[in-house]
Amino acid sequence: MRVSHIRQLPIGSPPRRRRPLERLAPGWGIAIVLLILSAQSLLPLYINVAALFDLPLLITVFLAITERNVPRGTLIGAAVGLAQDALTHGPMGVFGIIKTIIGYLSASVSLVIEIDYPGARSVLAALFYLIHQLLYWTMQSVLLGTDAAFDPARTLVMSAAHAGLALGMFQLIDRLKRPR
Amino acid sequence: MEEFIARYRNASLLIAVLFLQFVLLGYQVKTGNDVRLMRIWTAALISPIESVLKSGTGVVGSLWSEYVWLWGTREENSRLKANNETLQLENQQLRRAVTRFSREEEVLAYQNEIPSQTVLAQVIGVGSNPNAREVRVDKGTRDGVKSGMAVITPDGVVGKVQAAYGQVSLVLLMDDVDSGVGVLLENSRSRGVLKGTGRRECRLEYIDTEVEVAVGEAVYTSGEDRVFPRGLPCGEVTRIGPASDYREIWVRPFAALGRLEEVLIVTVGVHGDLPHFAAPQPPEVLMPMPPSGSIEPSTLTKGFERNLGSGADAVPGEAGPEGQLGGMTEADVLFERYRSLGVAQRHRFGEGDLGTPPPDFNFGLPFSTTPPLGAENEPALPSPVATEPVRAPQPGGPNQAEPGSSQQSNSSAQNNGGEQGSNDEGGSNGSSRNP
Repeated sequence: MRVSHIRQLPIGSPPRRRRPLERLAPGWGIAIVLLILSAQSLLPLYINVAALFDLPLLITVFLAITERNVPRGTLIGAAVGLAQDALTHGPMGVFGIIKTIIGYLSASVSLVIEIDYPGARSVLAALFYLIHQLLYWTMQSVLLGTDAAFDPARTLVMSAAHAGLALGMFQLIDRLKRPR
Repeated sequence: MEEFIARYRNASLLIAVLFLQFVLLGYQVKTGNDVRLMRIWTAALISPIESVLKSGTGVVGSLWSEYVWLWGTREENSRLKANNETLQLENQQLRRAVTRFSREEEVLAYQNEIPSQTVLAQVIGVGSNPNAREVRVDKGTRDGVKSGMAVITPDGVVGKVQAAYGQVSLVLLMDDVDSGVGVLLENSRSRGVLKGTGRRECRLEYIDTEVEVAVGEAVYTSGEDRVFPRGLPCGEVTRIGPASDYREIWVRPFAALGRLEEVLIVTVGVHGDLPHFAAPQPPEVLMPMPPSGSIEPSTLTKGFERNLGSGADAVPGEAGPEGQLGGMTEADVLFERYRSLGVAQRHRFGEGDLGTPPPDFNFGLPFSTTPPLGAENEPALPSPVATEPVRAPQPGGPNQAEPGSSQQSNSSAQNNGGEQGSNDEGGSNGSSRNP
């Protein structure tokens, strides 16, 4: 299975085996997800700006990239999204669907390009934030029929903000990684 | 199929997971039901962490904010102290402004209330003479202020303009020793002059000793000094000293002369109404009418008429139901009595020659020395009803006692002659006094 993935790497990319692969312990992964979900609901109480950030999205991207496994990334995205849904007043499945797709894409991208560099992960986080917002707006307006507003300028700014936040947050969580 | 799934495993898993969630979403949207169980589980997982984080955040936050994050505290403290002083100063200024505005509002309301035309002025200082009681105000001749104008406040009279300049005026307060205000007392309306003493109280002079003055009685301007319009409150009587030629009365001004700030200068004075009597003067007591049983003049007149047989023209007025002489005063009764005496003795008042003796005014009385004229020949004429002596109401009621006694008296006078009439009269006037 891993051989096939390596085979999909583009020509000229650094071989993966040159660097030791690291992964996050499952226990740490679950704990971080719960912590992030708690922080998502707790931080806005102290920092108003924190309500604008989608921390579960960032942790989904991080875990999916770290796992480098599309099924795991997909399931991680689904689990995080459904948990986020459960903590909101909206119907279950909105964030689940979106983050399932995000997890799938993140894991797929991690198999194609080298994403261990902080800058690359930060750019990916910004990109996935844009996709996330686009999907969210589509689901709200098309599937649920609500008047969800989509502000491109604001979305771009927040995308950059998520990139900056991901830069620090991913490096912080990287310290918990252990070699495979 | 298996090969297809194995080949497209990732996509198949994605589609399966998405399909399940779409079904879940569609179920909720279509039925309106909530997947409550998942929410409960998630909340059960998250809430303990949230609690721990919350408490940890509180502890860490307090430690951070109270012990660590203090690098700017000193500067902030200095800045806050300076800010506090500025705010305190501003607060005092605002309080003074509010007080001044409320005071000016009161003065302006009073200005509209009184009939006189006035100019609002601010006290800007005191006079340079430490022994004089005078202040300077910020209105002068440019504002129409002239020397001699009255200065008042809503509380009462302040003084008068001693000198007016361009923009300022010098006001002599009413408690200055050179000040005098024509005033009157509220109750007695007695007029006097309120003179300053240089102290807190003024002295009210030229009030007669007969005038009753009470402590606390108000003093108003009388308007006779041609400076202060009538009816302005001046002060109240605080103490009354021993009287000599005049009463020694001390009056405390109503206006707070020691802390004046806004005053009204009366440019065109109009007399106002004096307040009603706060304590009415004691009523003028008239002597009570003599009791009905002791009305001597009519009794005497009747006696004269019966004894002398005089005409009915000497009859005084009828006795009223309450024993009063209807329509006649005591002077009328006396006049009729003397006229009857003159008729009985054939004496004409004012027509005799010089040296003519006056009539005997005891004529007809038991101790009279003059015998009745023609008493032996002429029977006594019956006296008219009006000559019936007025009697006091009997306990049984005046309507029962009066007519009976009157008829009895008349009949006895007709039947028994003058002597009997005298006896009746004497019996009926047993309690009467002799003149």
